[in-house]
Amino acid sequence: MATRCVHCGSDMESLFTIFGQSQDPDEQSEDSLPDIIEEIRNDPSLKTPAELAPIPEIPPTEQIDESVLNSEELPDWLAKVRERAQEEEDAIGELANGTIAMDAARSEEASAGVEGEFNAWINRIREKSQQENSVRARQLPDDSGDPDQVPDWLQRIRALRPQPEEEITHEVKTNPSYVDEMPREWTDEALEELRRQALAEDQEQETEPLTPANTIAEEQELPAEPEMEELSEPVHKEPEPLEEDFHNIPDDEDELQELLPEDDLSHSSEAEETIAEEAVEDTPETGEIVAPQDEPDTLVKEALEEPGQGIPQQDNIQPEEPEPEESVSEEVPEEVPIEPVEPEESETPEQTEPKSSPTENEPELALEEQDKEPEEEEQPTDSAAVPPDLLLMRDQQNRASLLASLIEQEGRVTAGKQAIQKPSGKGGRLAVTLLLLIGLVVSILIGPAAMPADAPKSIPAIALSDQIQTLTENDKVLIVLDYQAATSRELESLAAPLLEQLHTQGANLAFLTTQPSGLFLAQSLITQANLPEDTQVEYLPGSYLNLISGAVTPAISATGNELLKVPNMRSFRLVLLVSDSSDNIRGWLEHIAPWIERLNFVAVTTQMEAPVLLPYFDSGQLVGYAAGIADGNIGSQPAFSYRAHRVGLLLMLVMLLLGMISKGEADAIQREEERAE
Amino acid sequence: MKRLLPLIVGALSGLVVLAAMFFVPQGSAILSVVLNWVIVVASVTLLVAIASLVLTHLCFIAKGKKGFLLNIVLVVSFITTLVLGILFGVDAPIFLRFVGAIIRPIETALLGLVALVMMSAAMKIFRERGWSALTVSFGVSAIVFLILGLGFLQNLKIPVLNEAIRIVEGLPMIGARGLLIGIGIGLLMMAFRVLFGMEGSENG
Repeated sequence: MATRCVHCGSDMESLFTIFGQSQDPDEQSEDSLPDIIEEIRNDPSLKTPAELAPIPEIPPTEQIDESVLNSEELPDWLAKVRERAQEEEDAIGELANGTIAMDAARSEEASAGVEGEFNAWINRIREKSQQENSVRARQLPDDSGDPDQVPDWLQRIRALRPQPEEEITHEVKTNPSYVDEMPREWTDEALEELRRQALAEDQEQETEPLTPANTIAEEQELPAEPEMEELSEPVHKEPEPLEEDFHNIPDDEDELQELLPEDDLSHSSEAEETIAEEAVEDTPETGEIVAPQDEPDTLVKEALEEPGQGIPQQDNIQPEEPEPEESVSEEVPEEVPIEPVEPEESETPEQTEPKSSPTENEPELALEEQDKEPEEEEQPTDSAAVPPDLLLMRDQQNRASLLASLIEQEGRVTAGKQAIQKPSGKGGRLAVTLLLLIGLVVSILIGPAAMPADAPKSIPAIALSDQIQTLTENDKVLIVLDYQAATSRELESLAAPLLEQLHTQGANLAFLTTQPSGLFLAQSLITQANLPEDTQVEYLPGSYLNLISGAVTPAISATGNELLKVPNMRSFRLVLLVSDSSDNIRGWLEHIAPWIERLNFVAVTTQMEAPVLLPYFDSGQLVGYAAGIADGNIGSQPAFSYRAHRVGLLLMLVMLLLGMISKGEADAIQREEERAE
Repeated sequence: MKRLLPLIVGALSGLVVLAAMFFVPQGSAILSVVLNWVIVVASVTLLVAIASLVLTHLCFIAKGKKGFLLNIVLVVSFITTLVLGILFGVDAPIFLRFVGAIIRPIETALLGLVALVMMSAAMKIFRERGWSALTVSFGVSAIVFLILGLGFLQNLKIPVLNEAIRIVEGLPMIGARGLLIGIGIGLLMMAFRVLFGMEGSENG
């Protein structure tokens, strides 16, 4: 199986032959790769003006080898190899020349490359076929003397129109291109049905002449026909390379046209035709251009069959082209709502026809270029005119229109999207805070108001008071201070009168603190209770846990503990717990009290912690307790402001009621809104 | 082994203390020793925590981290307290007055802020949570006990009313009992989990 070039099909088997191996006579007779490339290059039909530059000569490798040979002494085997290589100069040279020729060809076409050469070759073949079509069209007799005849440009287009049989095959072949993502509403079945109707009408027209009305309608609808026909042709011929060149970037298109040689312009023109075709393919959705689509077949058939019809030169064709532009631009806006499609349809006949029009020689090409340039200059500078590079597909147009509408609506506040502004509540919050502060400040500034003596007392507070009154002189009382500075005012206001009463009764007070802060807090309490300043306050690390062993084992309590200077807890008659933590009070009651049955425990705590102590009071583990300012009437409390306490409670009550009322109001407003909606 | 060793130590310690609590005359000495160990270890832990705190804030000051002025305040306060405590002694009245004059107003102000926050929360709870059994019961009970706390009804000295008030004031005891029972059961279960190594957090 021979190895061939993927581009030109030339045999490349000689490149893969190994030196020394026998070759078949057929292979030896075949042309080598350099010869094939040289033959392609020298082919006059494939030659381009850009190929006139000479290929740089690469120095032969034999000269290099000889210089190397002379420079050093070589072993015998290598000398023999080289000697044989010199003798069989052709074999070595063929391989080397093939490689060198390939390198030279690649270096020569560094800009375009082999693919560029191949594309240029294909384009030239395509141009040839187009020229043949144009020659065949021009060979038709000119019948311009008839005033009822269709315009020349239309005759020429009809002449370029393929035969009906070809049209059928063309439609079949272009079907696969419609399977792609391009939005289409025309199905193959619908097109086939349309085709059948057209063929039926053709048969009728062969028997009946065209009426004037048909002629007028044909003239009105004709401008769209060349588009349809011309646009369908490139897909039929070479669809793949055209799709590769399609893009919507104008700058890239300009750069591409600058880079491509002149003979590649036809290639780019085909790309433009593809763009125009994609745009025109959308227009049948409106149903306007589809109806006369079958007429060109009959017209082309007539034009090819009538020998008297001729096609004038292209100079005569150019001035007549603006007519279909106007007719199309007048008709399309009624049917196609999207703006960018209109100029595209009107411009495609101008831009595609001159480029795709066949020419026989280079001067004609030059003339066409000259004609094309003033035509482009004569294009109206309409704002609605969109260059073909900016043409959009239907879905792209829909998205663009959506984006445009969004941009228009940007910044506008719609009624439905307005967010309901919720009240921030900062004003209300500020008012509530000011109300609270003013009430407290005023109640404090008026002066401390002692709790009335006849105010009812709580049962635990009464029990506590009774327990203290039962103490006699020299009874030992252990005072445990277990609170923080934050609650010191509340607890000290309660504990100070009790301590003062105990001191008055002659009880021996021993102070113990379980927290480091209790050392300096005890000083304030001692001062308020009018106790001697030299009263010692001991720090008990580990709180009640440190006393468990002493409580459990009487022997340890008798001998004393080094960490605790309160040696024997059994000697105390009462333990007064001043604590802001119900957990600590529970710890004393649950871990110490069970081991010492005759020891009574009472507590002074905050009102917040009181409910937790209720079960212990109810069970008798806690003899009595005083909680908060509400139990402040168990003694005289000069630093205690009962009025401020009540004002605070009133404000709390008002806040709660305000919260409930505001919630009820909000619910009522919401119900009203729902009812209104 | 890394997880097993702390588990074994914790379980054994708990079992020993529990046994010492049950066998009181014989295990009292063990109980006292273990508790002293706990006190010493806790004290050392507190020293380590203080050292770590000071070093951390010193690093923040050295790096010039954002808000390092607060770090400077903390370090200066710590050093001042330490120096004054060493110079005058922790039992000196001047030292105790100095420390109390700083801590007492700060903590009292913080507690006042907590009261304000609680009041705001009580006001907003109905707007945020709406009308539910929880919010309605909270609101009603709060209003009732606030009114009772004012003492107006008690001052009326109506026997029937006073009896009703006494019953109402005893209602929290019911909730407190349930709360305490729940706490006791929870502590028991947690103790068993620790003893049998079922609690992962105790293993580090």
